[in-house]
Amino acid sequence: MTVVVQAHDILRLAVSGLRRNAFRSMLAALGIAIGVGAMVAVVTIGRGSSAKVGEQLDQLGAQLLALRVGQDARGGQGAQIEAKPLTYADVEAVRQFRSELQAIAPVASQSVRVASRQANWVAAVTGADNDFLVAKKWRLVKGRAFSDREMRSGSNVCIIGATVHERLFGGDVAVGETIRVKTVSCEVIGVLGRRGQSGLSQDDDNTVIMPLANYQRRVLGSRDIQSIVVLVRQGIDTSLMKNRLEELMRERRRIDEGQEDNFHVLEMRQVADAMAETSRTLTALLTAVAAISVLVGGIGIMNIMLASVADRTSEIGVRLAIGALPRQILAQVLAEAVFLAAAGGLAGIVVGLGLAAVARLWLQIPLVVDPAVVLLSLAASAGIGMLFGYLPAARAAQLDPAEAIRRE
Amino acid sequence: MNAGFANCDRPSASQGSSEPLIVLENIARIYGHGAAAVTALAGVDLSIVRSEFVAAVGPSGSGKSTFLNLIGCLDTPSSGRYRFKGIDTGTLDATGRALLRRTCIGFVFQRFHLIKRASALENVELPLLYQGVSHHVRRDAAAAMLAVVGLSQRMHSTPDKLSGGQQQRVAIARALVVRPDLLIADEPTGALDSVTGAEIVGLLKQLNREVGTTIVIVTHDPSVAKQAARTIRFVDGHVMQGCVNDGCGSGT
Repeated sequence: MTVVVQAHDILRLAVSGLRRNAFRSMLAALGIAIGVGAMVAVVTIGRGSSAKVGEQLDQLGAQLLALRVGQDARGGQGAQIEAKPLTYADVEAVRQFRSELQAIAPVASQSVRVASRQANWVAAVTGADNDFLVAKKWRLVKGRAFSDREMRSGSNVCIIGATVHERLFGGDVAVGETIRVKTVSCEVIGVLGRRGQSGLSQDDDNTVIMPLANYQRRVLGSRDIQSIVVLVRQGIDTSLMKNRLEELMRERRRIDEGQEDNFHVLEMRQVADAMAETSRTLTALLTAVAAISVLVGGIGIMNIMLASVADRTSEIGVRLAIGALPRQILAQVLAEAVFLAAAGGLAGIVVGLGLAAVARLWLQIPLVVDPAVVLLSLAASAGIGMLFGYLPAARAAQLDPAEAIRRE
Repeated sequence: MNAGFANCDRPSASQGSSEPLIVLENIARIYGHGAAAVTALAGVDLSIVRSEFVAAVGPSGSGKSTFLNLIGCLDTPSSGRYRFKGIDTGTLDATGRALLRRTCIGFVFQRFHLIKRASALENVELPLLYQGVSHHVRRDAAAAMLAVVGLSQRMHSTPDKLSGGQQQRVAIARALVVRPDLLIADEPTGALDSVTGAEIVGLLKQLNREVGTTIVIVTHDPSVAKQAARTIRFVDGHVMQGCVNDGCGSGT
């Protein structure tokens, strides 16, 4: 005796059961849709921002270290210790690691008003050398880098970032033009490619780079060096280099054992890791909240299914009388609940990805659609339907047919 | 009908050679407990043989509906033994009773109880669907059964497009599509006018005669009861035995 009913027959029964009250069914699925939508959106946006951090790290250089005077402001430590600036002698000392370092760039920088004939604008003006461009992996889209002669003689030349190019020249030809930096006139010899806003640094494109010596003499008015940016060669551990630089500087700055450093070495990889961690934590938290709303959606489905079973008591009694087994009634009601929840979940996935796509434009993050997230959401929805559909289904299956038929 | 599914026409291993289809031994059915207990049936002994056409009559609350539910395996007795096709139904659980119903017993109700959203054809297919019969086989069987009840032209109509008599014909087709041993009809003419009711009873009689299906109907209508070969009169949960044709007027 055949007792199995083909799955598609049960599904067809379930769908026709749901169509009895299509509006109510839709409302029941809506709860799940909203929960799953929130969950998918949060996870996708979270993945996107993590991916962006990773992208930026690749762009800025996972191998980048920055030696700076003063304490690391990021720990929220107490008052800044009075710190003497770095010197050319420090730069020479760092050069002993030449075989491990691809680029060693002494840098000084401050915000200065810059002006072209048409406009003026405040930009970060940096004194540096070509190694700085190497360390920051910066491309020139127009013109050229500094020549050795310009670096040595301190010619009045500069390379401008994309934002400055936009602001001072409206994007028109800039190479060969002269801009005024504070009181110094200098000739634009190159324009940098756009790098874009990043979470790891300020607007990198709002910059004017001059030869370091020139910047110190004409703009800064001292021979101070604020930081040394170094690019560690591929395959060499940045944390190890960080330790060696710290050791070197403690020695050079005569900091005793147990005394606090008055300088710090910023490891770009660590900054990125910290940001990614923050993003992960936030994502996990929001996902948990969204998951709770999916559960609430499940309770909504149980509620609707209980009402629907109560409405159909008589019909279920007839089905039992004419040949349905209790477990077939169970399967039908369960299939209805799973179908509702899965349909809600599917709608939620579409909505969630839509939200993430909108957020992508807003937050300037990539859209990372993880198939695992999509499949898992769908499976979770179906699971929720199964879980919360069971009680109504069991109730339907246990109906006494003789009594159920009489109920109208 | 060349249907590849289980039905009651096949000889059953558990069936006794010459035992009546239905044997009730001292069956009682009591609803509720203690002081609130209501006795619907009080010790009924009865048997019905194959191909009988039996009418159960009696005033409301006399126990005839309870009797119908019991012999249809929709309900279980409080005490006593009910043998159907030689099977002691007391040994069956809810699923066992459902399995017995699905192949051996067809039901027709006063209010038709068709599935509203489904077409006549789909309604008739339903018992076969639950048996796991494949789509085209059950479709053919259902169409053939609708032809038997004279509704070939209305196969694709939903119940709300059919008259009461037509709906009851669909219900009869649904009950008979599994070719049951027993057809149980609870007031099948109760919701119909007298002319249509007579047609339905005529159809049942014809099926009883031509197919040999055992039929038990509950009715309030004496003219319907008169059509049956045998009448069982219920009074206060007891059966007034021995009534054949319309010889029950005396009530003894």
